[in-house]
Amino acid sequence: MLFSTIDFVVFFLLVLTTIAVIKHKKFQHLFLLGASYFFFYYTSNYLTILLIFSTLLDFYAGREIWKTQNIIHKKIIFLISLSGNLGLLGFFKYADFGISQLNVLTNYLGIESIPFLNLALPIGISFYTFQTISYTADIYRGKLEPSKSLREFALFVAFFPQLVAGPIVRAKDFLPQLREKMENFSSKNLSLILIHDRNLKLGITIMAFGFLKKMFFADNIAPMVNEIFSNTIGATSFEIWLGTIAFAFQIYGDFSGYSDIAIGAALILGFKLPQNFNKPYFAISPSDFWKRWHISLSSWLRDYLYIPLGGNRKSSARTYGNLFIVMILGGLWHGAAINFIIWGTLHGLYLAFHKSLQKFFPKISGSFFFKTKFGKIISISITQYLVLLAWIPFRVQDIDSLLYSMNKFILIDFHVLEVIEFTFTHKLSILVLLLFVILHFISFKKSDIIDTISKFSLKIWFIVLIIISLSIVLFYNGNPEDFIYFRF
Amino acid sequence: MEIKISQNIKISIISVIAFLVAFSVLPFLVAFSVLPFLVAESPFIEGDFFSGDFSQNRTGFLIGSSHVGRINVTQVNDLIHDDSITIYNLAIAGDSPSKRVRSLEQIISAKPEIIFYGISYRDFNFPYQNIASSILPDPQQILSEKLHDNNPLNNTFPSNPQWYSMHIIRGLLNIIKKEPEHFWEINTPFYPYHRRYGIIATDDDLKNEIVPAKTWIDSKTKINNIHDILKIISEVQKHEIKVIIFTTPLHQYYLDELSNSQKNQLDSLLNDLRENYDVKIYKFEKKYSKLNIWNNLSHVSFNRNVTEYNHDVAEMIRIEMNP
Repeated sequence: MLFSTIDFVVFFLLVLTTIAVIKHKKFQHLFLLGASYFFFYYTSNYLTILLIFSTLLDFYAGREIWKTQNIIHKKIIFLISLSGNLGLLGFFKYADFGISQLNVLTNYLGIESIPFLNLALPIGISFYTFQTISYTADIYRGKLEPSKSLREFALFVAFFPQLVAGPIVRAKDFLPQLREKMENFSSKNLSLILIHDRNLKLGITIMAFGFLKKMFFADNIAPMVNEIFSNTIGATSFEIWLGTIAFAFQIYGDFSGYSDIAIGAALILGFKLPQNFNKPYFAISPSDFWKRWHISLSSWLRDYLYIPLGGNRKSSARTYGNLFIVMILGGLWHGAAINFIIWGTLHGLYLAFHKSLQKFFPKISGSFFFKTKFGKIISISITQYLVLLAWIPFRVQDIDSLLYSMNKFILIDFHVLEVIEFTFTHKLSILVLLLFVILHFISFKKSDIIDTISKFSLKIWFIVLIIISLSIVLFYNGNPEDFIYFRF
Repeated sequence: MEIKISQNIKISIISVIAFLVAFSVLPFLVAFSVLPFLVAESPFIEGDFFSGDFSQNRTGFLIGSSHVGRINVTQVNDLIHDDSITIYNLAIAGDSPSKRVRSLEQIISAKPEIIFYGISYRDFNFPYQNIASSILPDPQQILSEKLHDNNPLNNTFPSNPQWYSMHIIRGLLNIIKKEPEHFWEINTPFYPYHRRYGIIATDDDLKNEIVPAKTWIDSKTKINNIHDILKIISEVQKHEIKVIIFTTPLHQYYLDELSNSQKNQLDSLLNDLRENYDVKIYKFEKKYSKLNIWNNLSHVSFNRNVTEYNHDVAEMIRIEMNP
């Protein structure tokens, strides 16, 4: 069920009303679980079986890992759980990519090609498998007690606001919220789900901004981006720059909009989901960017991949290697394609370069200049130049077009007229893009803007809601873009 | 007695009202967009047109979207060379079978002898993503079908509000510039012509327009258009009005972007219409694909010198009305 459809609005209102009216703890939890499964079943139909499989596998694996004292048994069970989850993800997401790579080899050897499986990618599989892996991994490391009941664990995996495209939630953050006292994880009592007015108002405000980011900003920038990147060969440098900047804001509006709707919806129900974005285009270094962009994924990769690989505890060479591996796998997580590998590799390079700069030239990176306003502007500009360059392989799949676009992005040809002409034919997209950049800047300067709006008196808050709703409705083009991260 | 309303209820009511206010603006948006000061006044309003007397002459209606709107019906009527026949172009910008079905009763009530329905890929939003059939029920499809058939709001909301908003903004800007840009053609009551529709685009302009084909995930709701075109044809045939389907012309760049899946889906629909509904099909989609007559990739220029499309439509009408 897409958040940006009337189906979701009706579904969410029904869930809220039922939970608000029937104040029975057990019923509320069971109802929320049922509603979450219905939410998933609505678009995924029989593929819901994969979600059930993943839930059952990790619930019982987690329990067994916790119970057994034998280290080897623990390891074996953990490996079974890991291979179950990664096998599922690998089969549905990477089987055809693997076959295509094998076919290159078979063609070379003159052997008959292997036919593609043409599997439908189950929606949300990349998100919920990472969530369940983190659960068993935390139990294996002794950092988490297993869930008290299957119902509770199933709700953690399937909780509808974050099920399809995150944020990727950790069990240690979510499970206590289902219990009576947040600080007492061992409590077995379920908590009553109460809709508090403060959460309700803040949640609705966050959701409204999420819808605005997705349906007003991202969807109205998308036509211009699609046009530029539909046929890049022959485009001028400034057109590629415009397309790349526009795509950077489109994907930000799209994905952070989705995350905001998820966070807002969960908050209304009384659950706090982790923040997923924090003004990413004001990052002052590549590592700072990953603390601001898709935070739940980058922190997952750090905790469950980078650190187990050795992190920065071993030699410098090993640290750089680890960064590369993590970022390439992060790229592959987005999709089985060469362009995502290039995107991941570029970010791996940036991070390794930044790390080496800090190590070998501590005076430069720690200098007073970079703490001044001008120094920060320089840092932000360099970082964003690199981030934008990396967005090109994320957007352009065809290798010839990709190389052409990156070449034009780096080696500027100074043909200005074409881009001026182009902007005149895309006035709405340009205007919306400029507005979004300004809004991003305002949110950087005033970080608690949504919180402030949610504290407005009801009259002023109502006016803000009307303005947001009208902006969405009046500029809805009847041909909405799908959420980009639904593909992952 | 004072009634105490909890803060939660107040917040909920305010949110719902904001949501409703935003949506209730939409019908006004549509109404506002046809106000005379935005568009040169139409010689007809919908109700008036259909209550007119069509019995004096043999009448044919051309229906469809802006693709059909680009047919110059004045020229077509001249080319038919038959004073007993009058053709009306009832094209509506942004039309689709699901919208057209709403004015079906009015069209039938005018008792035309024949209806020529121009369709293209855009009417059905092809291609749909192939969703493997499942033995489990599909709530999305069930709801979509139920709501589509019984939704009293079907006629109320435009499917592309942005088009209306931009139209109003442009109209207001034109008022400031004092340059009326629309005009109306005789016998074309619902489709105002913009001056720029007469421009013949250059090859570079056309190349700039190319957008890769999109696959629709929410295919179930889009399938409503197929359901509705079949309904239109059945209803019209039930009233003994002949229906002819023609595919509207497209530029070669547009055709090149179509996937095999898109082409197959439209072909299979046309076959279904031909075989199961006994409807004759004329195909114009590739006929002028390489000619220099295009206003954009999917619209032939509405230019006095562009006559190929009008000639073929007139020929089709002559064949079908004087067999």
